[in-house]
Amino acid sequence: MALILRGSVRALQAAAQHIASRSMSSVAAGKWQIVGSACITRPPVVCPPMTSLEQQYYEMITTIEEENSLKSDHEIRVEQDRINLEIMKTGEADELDLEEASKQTAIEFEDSCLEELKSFESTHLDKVNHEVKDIKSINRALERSLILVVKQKVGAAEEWVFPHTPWQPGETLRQTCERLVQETCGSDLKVKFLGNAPCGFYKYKYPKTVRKEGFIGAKVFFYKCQVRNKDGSVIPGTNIVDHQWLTQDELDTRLKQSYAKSISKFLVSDR
Amino acid sequence: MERDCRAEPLKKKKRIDPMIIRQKEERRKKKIEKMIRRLEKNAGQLKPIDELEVPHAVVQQMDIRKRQKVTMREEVAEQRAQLTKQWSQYKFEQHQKEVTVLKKIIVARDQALEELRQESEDLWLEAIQVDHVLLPFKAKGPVATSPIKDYDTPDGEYYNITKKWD
Repeated sequence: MALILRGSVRALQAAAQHIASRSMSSVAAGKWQIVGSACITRPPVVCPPMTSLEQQYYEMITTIEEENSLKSDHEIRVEQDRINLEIMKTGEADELDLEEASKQTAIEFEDSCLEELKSFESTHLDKVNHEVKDIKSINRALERSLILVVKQKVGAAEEWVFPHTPWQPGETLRQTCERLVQETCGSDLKVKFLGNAPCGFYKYKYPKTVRKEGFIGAKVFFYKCQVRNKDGSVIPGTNIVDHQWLTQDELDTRLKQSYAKSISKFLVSDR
Repeated sequence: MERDCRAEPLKKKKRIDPMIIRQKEERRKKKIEKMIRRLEKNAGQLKPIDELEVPHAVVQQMDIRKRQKVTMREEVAEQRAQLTKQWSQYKFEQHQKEVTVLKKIIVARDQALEELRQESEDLWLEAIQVDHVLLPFKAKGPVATSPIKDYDTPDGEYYNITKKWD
C-alpha cells in the first residue's frame, strides 16, 4: 500500500488538503466527454493445478520433512502390530495377545479411513467437477480471474466493451462507476471498488458527423472493482444487449485492438 | 505522685554481642539475596509455546520414535540440489514479473490521473482523495477444491483450549 502514496500523487495530495470540503464538481469545461467505466473482476475461486516444477519441488520437500521427522503414533502402532502378528504366527500367543488381535489393527484402521474418503469423494466431488461451460455464468473457469464484458451501444454501433456510462455533473467519477454497476448489473452483484483513482484511460474521437455538444471525442476512465458475492448474477440493464465473463486471454479476441491495448496496461494476469 | 502505675515495669535491656548482631544481619541479607536470585532465574525463562514443545510422552519414547538415518545416494543429493536451484530461479522470475506488473499498474494510474486533471481539476482532486473504506482490505483467497453446493456441515463447536501465560 505504500506504493500508492508515493511520488507525484503524494505531493499533489498535500496541495489538495485545504480544499477538503469542496462541493460536488460543476460542469466540466473541455473538449472531451468524460465517460466512467467499470472493470469488474471476479478473482479466482479455486487454486490452479501445480506446474511440473512445483509438483517435483513439493514432493522433494515432503520427503525431506518426513526424513527429518519422528515416527507418529500410527506408525508405531503399525510396527507393534507387525511384531504381534509374528509372535502369533510362531504360536507363542498368550491370552493377552489374542485379546489385542481381536481389536482393529492399525492397517485396518487406515484402510477404513481411505474407504470413508473414497465414499465422500464419490458422493460430493463428482457433482463439483462438472465445468460450467456457459460463458455468461460467473461460475465458469474457477481457476482464473474473470472480467465482465458487455455489448453496449458506442455511438451508432454496438460493441463489446467494459460497461460504461457518461459522467454527469454533480457526482465524482467513482460515483459514476458505482451508479453504472447498479444500472448495468442490477443489485444482485455486490462489488467493491479499489480506490478513488481511475486505473487506466482510453481516448477516442467521435466521427466528424457526430461531434455533438462541442465534444470532439470521449475519454473513458476505468475503475477497478472486485465482485464480493461469488453467487451473484448479472441482471443486464436496459442498454446492455449481451454480457460475458471472460478470462484475460479471451479478452483479446473480443475487444478492439486499441481498446485492448489500453486495458492490458492495468490488468493483472493470473498466469 | 499521681503517675499512672498500671504498666509493667520496663524490662532491662540485655547487651547483645555485636558479633551476634552482625551474624543475624548477614543471615537476613543472604536470605533476601537468595530470594532475588530465584526470582531472576524465573524471569529469564521464556513463556512455553505449546505447539513448539515436544510432548512429554514422545520425549520418553524417543528410542522407538527416532528414524534410522538413510544414507543418501549421491545422485539423489545432486538431484535435490539441482531442483532447489531451479526452484529459486523460478521464484525469482515470478517475483520479477510481479514487480513489473505493479510498476505498470502505477504508471497507468498516474497517466489516467494526468489525463483527468487536464479534463477537470475538480474531478482530479476528488480522485486523489484517500479511500478510507478500502483499508484494511479483506479478501478470501482461492481454495484447494471447488466449493460443494448445499453441503450439510457436520455439527460441532470449536473450543479454544490454549493456555494463557501472563
